[in-house]
Amino acid sequence: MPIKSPFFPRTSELCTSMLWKEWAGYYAVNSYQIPHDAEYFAFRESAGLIDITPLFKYRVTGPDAAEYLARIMVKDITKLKVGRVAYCCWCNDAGKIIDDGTVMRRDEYEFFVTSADPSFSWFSRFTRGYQVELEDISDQIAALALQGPSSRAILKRICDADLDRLRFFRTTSARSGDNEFHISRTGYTGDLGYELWVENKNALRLWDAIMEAGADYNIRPAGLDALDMTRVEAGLILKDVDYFNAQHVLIDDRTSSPFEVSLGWMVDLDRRPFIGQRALQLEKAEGSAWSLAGIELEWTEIEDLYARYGLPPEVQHHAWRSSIPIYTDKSQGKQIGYATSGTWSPLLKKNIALATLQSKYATPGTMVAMELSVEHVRHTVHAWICDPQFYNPERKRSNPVKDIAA
Amino acid sequence: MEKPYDAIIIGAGHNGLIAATYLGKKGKKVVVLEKNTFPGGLATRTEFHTGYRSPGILQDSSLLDYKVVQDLGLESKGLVIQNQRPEIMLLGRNHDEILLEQDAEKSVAAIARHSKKDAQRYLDYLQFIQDIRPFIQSVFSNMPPDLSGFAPGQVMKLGQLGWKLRRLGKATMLQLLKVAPMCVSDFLDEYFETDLLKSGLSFPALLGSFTSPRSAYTTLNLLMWDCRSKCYLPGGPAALIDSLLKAAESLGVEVKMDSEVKSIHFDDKNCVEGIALENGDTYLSPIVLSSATPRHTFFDLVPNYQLSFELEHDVKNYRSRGMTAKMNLALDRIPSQVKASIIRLGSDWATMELAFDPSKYRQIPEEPTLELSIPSLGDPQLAPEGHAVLSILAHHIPYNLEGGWTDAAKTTLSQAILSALDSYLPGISETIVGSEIITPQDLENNYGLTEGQIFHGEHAIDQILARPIPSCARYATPLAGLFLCGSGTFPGGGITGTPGRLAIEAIR
Repeated sequence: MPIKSPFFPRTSELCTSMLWKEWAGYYAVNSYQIPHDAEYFAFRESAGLIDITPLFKYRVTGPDAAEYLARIMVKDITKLKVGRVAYCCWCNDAGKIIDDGTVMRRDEYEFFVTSADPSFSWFSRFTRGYQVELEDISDQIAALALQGPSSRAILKRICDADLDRLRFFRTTSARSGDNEFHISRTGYTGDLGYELWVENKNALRLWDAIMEAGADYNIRPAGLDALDMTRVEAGLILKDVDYFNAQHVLIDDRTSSPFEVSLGWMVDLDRRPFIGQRALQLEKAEGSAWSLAGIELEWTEIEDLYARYGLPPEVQHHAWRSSIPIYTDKSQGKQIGYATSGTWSPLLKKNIALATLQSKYATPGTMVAMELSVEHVRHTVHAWICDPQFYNPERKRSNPVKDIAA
Repeated sequence: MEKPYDAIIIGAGHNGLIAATYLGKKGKKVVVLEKNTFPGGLATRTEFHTGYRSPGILQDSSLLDYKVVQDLGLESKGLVIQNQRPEIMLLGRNHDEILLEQDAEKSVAAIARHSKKDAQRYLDYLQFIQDIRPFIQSVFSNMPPDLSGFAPGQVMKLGQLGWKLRRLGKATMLQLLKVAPMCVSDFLDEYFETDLLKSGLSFPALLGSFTSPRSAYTTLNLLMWDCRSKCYLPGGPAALIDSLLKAAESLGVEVKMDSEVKSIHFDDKNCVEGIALENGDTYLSPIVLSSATPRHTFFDLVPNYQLSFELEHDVKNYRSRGMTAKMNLALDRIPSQVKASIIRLGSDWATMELAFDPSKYRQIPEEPTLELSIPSLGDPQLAPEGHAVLSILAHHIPYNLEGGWTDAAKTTLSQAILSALDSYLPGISETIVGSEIITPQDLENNYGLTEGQIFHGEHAIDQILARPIPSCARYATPLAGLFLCGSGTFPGGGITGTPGRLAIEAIR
């Protein structure tokens, strides 16, 4: 049976829909009300608050902590400055992704690492020879994501952190009354937002403070359904949906390298050896077989298709995450890839998806065809390859005080 | 800047020196770096009592690869080698004894005094060993097959191996396939009924390993030894080192003592570029061969970030539990009961199992299984005239002894060995004038043996056929320019020289 996060006393009271799922062993709210639209619009227009306690969390300390993490991560963590956060992934020897998460450097010798899968076993295999201590603090630290354009204003009301100067992918400690916690300017919605890391015993006080301060901003507790739509709009991939943990797959074909899922930018290849380096160097030199791309479905064709059956066009209410074939053209001549997740974007008014395509077809502007079932019959509609970052507002990374360089 | 070496060899044990001498013969500029102040590793004579010297840790020189002797011209450098295995005396309590000689008829007569049936079966046993010998020798004296892929050349090699196995004849082939995975007690029970004979024959199956007669696959270890044990160095393993040093020197190989390697260095392409010593000196070479143990090489000398997950994992899981202690005794006379330079103190399966059991629980056995040799019989310079050195290998002595190897623990071990010895050779303790005890911990501290394992890793089927680990099974390692050439590589430990010889074939 799933366990309850420290926020459960509040989330359970608010979740009138009774729509729950299991996330990494915890109860997690899908949506607080039966339709999740309000929660989606809270993320996009005001602020949404979501319990992300089920993430796995690790503390890495010691003089060699940076070098140790640099051996595991594809990113050169020795170059990460104190107070900064890196989004990165880690690979096996074959250069295939095991998981992704954030690495925060809280101090010269102290890091905080998050992951989607339990990672202690993997991380602990590389401690030999380093002066480093690895602790699994997953069940000691509760976490919230406060995401949306009003998130900064709300957070400023409850804590002393200099949020006007806290830049994108930075982290700081903060104090709200006598409640201490950590803030990172990170998130999974592709908008202005923060993630808050707090000891379990202080979790409810933090929730209450945020909800109270956010009332004026129409803050809403939000669930995973709304989050899923925003992360597709932001082009953020999800493990076990857009790629699979290389240690969990039954066949090698299901594994992905960072280059194949648009995470190539985070790979620091030319440095001290790290796990997967050789394979990634080889892949970089030879080119990747697959690429991740955004696709945008041709709306008029969807209208036409439904019209054939005398129906108005329909879109799925939820973000979807099933594998859908993508072809070179509408005659289904040759399958060149598959979409892994997608959504109707209420904000962009577009039918969008994330897709894995043979690299030569993944150039933005290319026209492809995606399968679409209408009235139990499989059809295809045209779709355009584009940047997967469909939604990327300037405020995500900007600061009100622009002259301050951290 | 000084011209880089063509190759650096870590460790001046016999395998390191053999690899160096082969390279010297090819005209390469080679340096051997040894951490101790003396060369020879486990084959080093050391004075343990005034006037008495031990012949080194390993006392069996009968497995020496004759191809090494020929290739390197060691006989012209003074190595005396006899083309037959030394006699082996199986000694039981109550003066029971069986002398196994090269002349099978004499051995049969000795066995017949215990059992006529066993005497007849001994001939069958010898016949079986003789029948399978060409195959076993061929397997264990050539580069191991590459099991990582199916390149045409490798498939052909595997095919040839299969053909050699088939050529033994159907009956012998099936018998070999049947017995190799067996435990040595079951295997020998199929042949013999005399406990002394069975237990005495089983010794090579157990040496160094975390096994007892009833452990699986121990027969394979016995066959590996019995098929390859075929010569004798009167001067012992140390004489091999003497001749190797001369051969190496004549070829311009530099051998430097007191040169402990601290780390192996890699360039920015992650290829080997040299080593640094503990004293700060550096040596450059694109090739480094390590005759140190696999774990020491990868975990202490190579920077940890050079290791892939698989390499780290495999090296960590390579089993290397030290199970052997050594005791050297200075005797004021040559023991009168002794009729051979190698003596195995035999008993029965139950006694041997009971000796193994405590080691599993990190205890010293009350009655350890002992293999003796009197090296001073072949090499008189080890002891004053008329005196003797008795060199003892005690099996089933755990490295990770509960409470550690304190002085008290050493005394307990010495007493256990001496008490067992006295029950076989009554009165021998009165002839002892000096002694030395070397625990598995001492073997690690003084000879760099990981966990005191005398073979640089246990002899078990998985660790023999892909030795030490699959990615290093053919001497090259996943790290460009780094090779292994010690006992931790195929075909394993002991004084054979085969790892040092074959490692050279891996360098292209």
